[in-house]
Amino acid sequence: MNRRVFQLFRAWVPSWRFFETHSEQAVLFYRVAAAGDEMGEWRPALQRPRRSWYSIVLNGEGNLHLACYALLDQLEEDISEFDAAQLDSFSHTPSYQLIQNLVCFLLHKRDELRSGCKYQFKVSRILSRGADAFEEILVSPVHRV
Amino acid sequence: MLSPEFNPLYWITKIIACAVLLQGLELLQIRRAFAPDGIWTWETLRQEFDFFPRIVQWALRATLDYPRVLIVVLAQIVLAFILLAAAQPQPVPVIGLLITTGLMALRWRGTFNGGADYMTVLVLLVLSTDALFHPSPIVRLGCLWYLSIHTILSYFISGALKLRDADWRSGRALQRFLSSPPYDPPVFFVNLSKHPRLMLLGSWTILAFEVSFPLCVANPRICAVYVCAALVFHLMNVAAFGLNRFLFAWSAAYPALYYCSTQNIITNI
Repeated sequence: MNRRVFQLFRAWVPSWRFFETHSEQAVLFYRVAAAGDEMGEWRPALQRPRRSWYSIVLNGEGNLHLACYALLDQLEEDISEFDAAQLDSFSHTPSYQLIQNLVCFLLHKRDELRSGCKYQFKVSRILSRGADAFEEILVSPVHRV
Repeated sequence: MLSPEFNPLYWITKIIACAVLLQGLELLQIRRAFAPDGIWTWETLRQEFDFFPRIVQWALRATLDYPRVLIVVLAQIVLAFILLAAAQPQPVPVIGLLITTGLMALRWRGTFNGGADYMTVLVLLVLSTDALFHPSPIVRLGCLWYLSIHTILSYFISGALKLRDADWRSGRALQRFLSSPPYDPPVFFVNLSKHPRLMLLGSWTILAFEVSFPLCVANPRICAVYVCAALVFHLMNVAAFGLNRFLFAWSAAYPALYYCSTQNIITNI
């Protein structure tokens, strides 16, 4: 409860820790398929939007992109409080549902969300860039539209 | 010598009004992201507030559910315009902006943009306190020093924590941040990151700047140098990482720093 309250009101309690240590960022993948088809390949979900000259002043899409990565960080933090036996109940948490919303939003934006199709997502952490090795933090069940 | 016309609170108000105006316009740009078919839907988020008393939950739903939350965003924009146009800082718009900013922070589960939100709330809190106790000169002085101290700490703490990290001292941390997925910086910075010596130089420049920032209140000339360096630092962050909000939020605090640097604190100790 205290942690939830602190999270919601943290804008009022400044934390001056920026780019302090670099740990590999969690990344979001998804795959989608039509009903009855095999699931496709995993694809990276988040792509940095193009910057324009006025991004120094107005950078809504860019800041939204960063906020989406903050959702992944929040999910990683929240899931660490669940042990393996409780992971089914994690899908009812706001952190999971927000990532699910994010995936649906992106699928809709890319015109990949059709009635009857199914999708799945996973949150992973890069272990080794050269070898493209990832550690899976969360793999969702297959969801149907 | 400080110009008799220099009024730090006037300039802090104008700059933070710009910052909050731009934040509001950005939220309108991305309003689909918090619409019912978006990402931060009220349907999902309202669970976060279920521990509040019912009356508070009702009030939050009344203000933060879509499309009513757009009224909060529009109010933020209008109040920012009022502050920009006003000849002197006005208490009602300032306190109004503090409320709208606080509400939007709740709507984004705490903050939308992390550090920039902390500084925006801090500046608005300081202005609101001054407005509530106007015309107390002691409170005004306290507000300016409070803001200055936090601004100094924002650089110093950040730099001190980096200094403890061997990866920052070697330049490897900067190299990794410049190739980190969320930021995906422009090709120019990616190419820079391939040169270890440049990364080492860049790291130590940042460390030296941040850790030495408390010196900025030594005198106005030194303060002006640090403020210029800080503006360059934030512009580089905008170019490399897209962190435009930080530039405007921190700029709002610099008039307080400059005012405090004229107080001759070093010679008075």
